Amino acid sequence: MSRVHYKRLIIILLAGAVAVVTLAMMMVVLSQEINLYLTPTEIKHRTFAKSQRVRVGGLVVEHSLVYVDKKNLEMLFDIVDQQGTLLKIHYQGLTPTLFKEGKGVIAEGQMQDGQLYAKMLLAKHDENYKPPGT
Amino acid sequence: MKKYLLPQSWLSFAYYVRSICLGLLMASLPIGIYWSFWLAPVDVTQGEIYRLIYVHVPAAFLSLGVYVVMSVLAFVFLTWRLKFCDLVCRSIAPTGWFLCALALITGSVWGKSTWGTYWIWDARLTSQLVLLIFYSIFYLLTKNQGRVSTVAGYVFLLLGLVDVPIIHYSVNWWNTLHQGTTVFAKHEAIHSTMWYPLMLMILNFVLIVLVLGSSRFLRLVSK
Repeated sequence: MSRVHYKRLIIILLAGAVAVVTLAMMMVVLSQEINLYLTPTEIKHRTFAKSQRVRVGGLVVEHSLVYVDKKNLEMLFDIVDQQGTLLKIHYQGLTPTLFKEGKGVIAEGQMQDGQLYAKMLLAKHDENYKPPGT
Repeated sequence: MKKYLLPQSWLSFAYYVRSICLGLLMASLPIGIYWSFWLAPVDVTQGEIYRLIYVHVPAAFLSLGVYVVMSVLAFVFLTWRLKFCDLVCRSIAPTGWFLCALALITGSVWGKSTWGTYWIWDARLTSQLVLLIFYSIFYLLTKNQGRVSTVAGYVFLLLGLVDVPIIHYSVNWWNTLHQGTTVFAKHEAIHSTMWYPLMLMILNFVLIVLVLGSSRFLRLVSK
């Protein structure tokens, strides 16, 4: 390897190392911001302004879904995280196709009296695929 | 040895690659499509829409694969300025861009019908969009073959390589709407009747990359 090639190689490797370290530091610092949603446990330990948009994720608790007003699709349900913390969600509107009790959900809206008044509801599904009946 | 560093020495090889891969693709793509969109069973939770996996996963997987190959070529090009690496890299770049865009588009349609939204700024979706931006920057900078802009294009390309592990691990490092990995899962995440057509479609997409890449290589060399 000639001198000029060697020099270029060193420059590329050094620049690459600097880029990786910088990015890794940014990711560690911003890690909480990159997360898409908070869990009910994280919600519990924080206070939110009334106007603040909050995004929460968890599993819809089985048998917790009740319709406050069936005609206007107004509903209440609980979500639970891995720590077992519950959060009540209020939502009015069409639900995504995969929205179901026992399945994952992400809700976005405002916190009020310990409840989330969701404006947006998204269904989360897992990475498993199988035909029916297996 | 020196002879093999010249792009012209690879012309006949590129012709062979194009012919053989095109032949294989013409036989295997119809089988792959028929198998994945008709023969394979429906998914128990998602129904028919899950079939997008047969385009989405190969496109996403190869958009990363092509990028890694391009980065290796970029590294060699920047250090030793081999014309050969430059040509191969520019030959496969548009296919990589297309696959990256295809992964985003199919994902978007899939997301609307299962999650309930076309787009959300979660870590997986955003990092894949960043990859498309890096592909675009590389294409625009190397398009006109100016000396400075070409080198700048390769520098940007190498810089974008850090995005590849971020895309792959985004679903483990942060919480996202996008589910975890199916293909690289530690447990059996996908039933064998769905797994085989998926592998065949990945193979088909590899062939597509080779056919389009070698065609463009032939065109760029003879220019």
